[in-house]
Amino acid sequence: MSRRWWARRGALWLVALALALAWAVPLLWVVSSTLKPQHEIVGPERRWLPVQPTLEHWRNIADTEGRAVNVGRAFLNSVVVALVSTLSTLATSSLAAYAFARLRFRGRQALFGVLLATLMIPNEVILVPLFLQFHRLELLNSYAALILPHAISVLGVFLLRQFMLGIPGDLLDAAAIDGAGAFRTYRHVVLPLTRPAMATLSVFAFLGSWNDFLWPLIVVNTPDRQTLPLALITFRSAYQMLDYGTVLAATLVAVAPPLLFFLFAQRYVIAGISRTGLKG
Amino acid sequence: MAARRGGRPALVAWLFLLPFLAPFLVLWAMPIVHGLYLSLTNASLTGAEERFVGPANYQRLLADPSYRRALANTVVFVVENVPVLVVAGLLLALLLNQSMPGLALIRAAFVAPYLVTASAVAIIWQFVLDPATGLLNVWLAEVGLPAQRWLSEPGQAMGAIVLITLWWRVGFPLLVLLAGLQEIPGELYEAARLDGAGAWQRFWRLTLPLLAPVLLFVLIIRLIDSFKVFAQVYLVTGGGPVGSTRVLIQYLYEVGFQDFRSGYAAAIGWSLFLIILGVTLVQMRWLRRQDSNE
Repeated sequence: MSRRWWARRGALWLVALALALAWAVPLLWVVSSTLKPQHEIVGPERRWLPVQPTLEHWRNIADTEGRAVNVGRAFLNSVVVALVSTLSTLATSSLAAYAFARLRFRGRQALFGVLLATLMIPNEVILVPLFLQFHRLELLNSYAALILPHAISVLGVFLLRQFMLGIPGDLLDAAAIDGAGAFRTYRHVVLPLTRPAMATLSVFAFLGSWNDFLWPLIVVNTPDRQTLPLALITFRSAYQMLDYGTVLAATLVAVAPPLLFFLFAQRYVIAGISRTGLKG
Repeated sequence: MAARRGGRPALVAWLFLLPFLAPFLVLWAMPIVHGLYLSLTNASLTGAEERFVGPANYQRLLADPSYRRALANTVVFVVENVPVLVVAGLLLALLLNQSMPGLALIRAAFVAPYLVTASAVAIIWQFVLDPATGLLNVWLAEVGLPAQRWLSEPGQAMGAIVLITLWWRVGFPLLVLLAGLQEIPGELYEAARLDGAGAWQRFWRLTLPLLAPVLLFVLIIRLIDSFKVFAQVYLVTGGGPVGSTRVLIQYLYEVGFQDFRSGYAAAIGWSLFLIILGVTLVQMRWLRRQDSNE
């Protein structure tokens, strides 16, 4: 390859590197600031990296006595809500997808058509009636209210059905000949083969629930039911000016789980986001 | 196995569907229908008996200055945000569609913000954009440029929101378009190169047409998402300064959950759906016509 070609490649690489750094700076700055004393975060003595590292912000987070927000409690709420929502989405979507892809019943096409049609309707449209529904059931400010809207996914049924349609019919016939009923075929033949699509769906289900802001804002009205996105905002208004580091430490608690998950399962997350585009 | 319709196999199928279908009916289907009905009533959580009022709410929306302002702000956001995100996503995808040292890490840097919750985005960017102490103005000062007021300047606030949204959301178009680029067979480029097509020609004649379906998908998804913009705006500016960033969903939230005028709020929600539906149909039609003209 010519020298010019290499020079061009090198220049493009530097551009990519510089942009990536610009994108990473805000998050890296959050991480480093949680370990800095206040005067190293803002003001004339600000530093990129902590000069006198301190754990005071993390101690503030851990010390819940007399605080307006209990970050630990919010973290637990978020974990419970996101995990239950994700598991429920995986179970209900895969069961329904199997029925749509592989079982015969009257009205299958019509029902699937109705599901696809509701996919067009944005969540925000049902905000008011859904709130009234939970109000009527006296379930406002409960875990049920936080979890239920995330416990099923129409998109998940669609995604898994498409994937299951690709499983060779011979495999399923063989299972039937061996005397396996529908549930055993689903459990031992179809589910293991659907793993990549399940991984994709779990990424979306987890992110959707963990990061949701608008629905918890509407249904939660006491601090002990707040998930992290809500707790962060209460925290911000209580400590913003006094203590940047502690607000940023709480921020890191909220963003770390998805980011760590991404770090270790980057392949699945990227495949998940990309796949929605190609098969959509 | 007996293929009797409505017999045992059908019962099994309904058992598989039940765990999904029951919550779907209660949490999706019923609220959709109920919402449409609500939007034709004067329902309110603060007393006053519920009455059917026909299309009155929709007529009122057309004349409601707050609604029109929120709609205008939303349209400004959509018009600025969609091209910025799609073009930036395409440029980054082209840049990263080649082997380079540290590619996985570079790609991760663009995708990471996509996983961050809106509250964290708001907190981080309020620090970055703070007029007095924020990182961005500090850098501007270092290279000799004047400080900007960013979020507290009515003419600048929506631009700042678009910038924040670019940082937060670009991972999605980037990844989808990157996957689209990688589906294009390398032999095509080889053939084009042998025919003497330059890089510019290869992009316009080969890459862009072959990427068109994926681009269309990204465009539509971004468009729908942009009309539903709420959390980052609400949390960063609260709709201010002087209402310059108050968007439709924020108005819906205030009417429905602060004033508790459920009927009117339901109408705002349905109007948003109709707008999104209309814009999507127009866009698909327009792109199809572009297609057949070639």
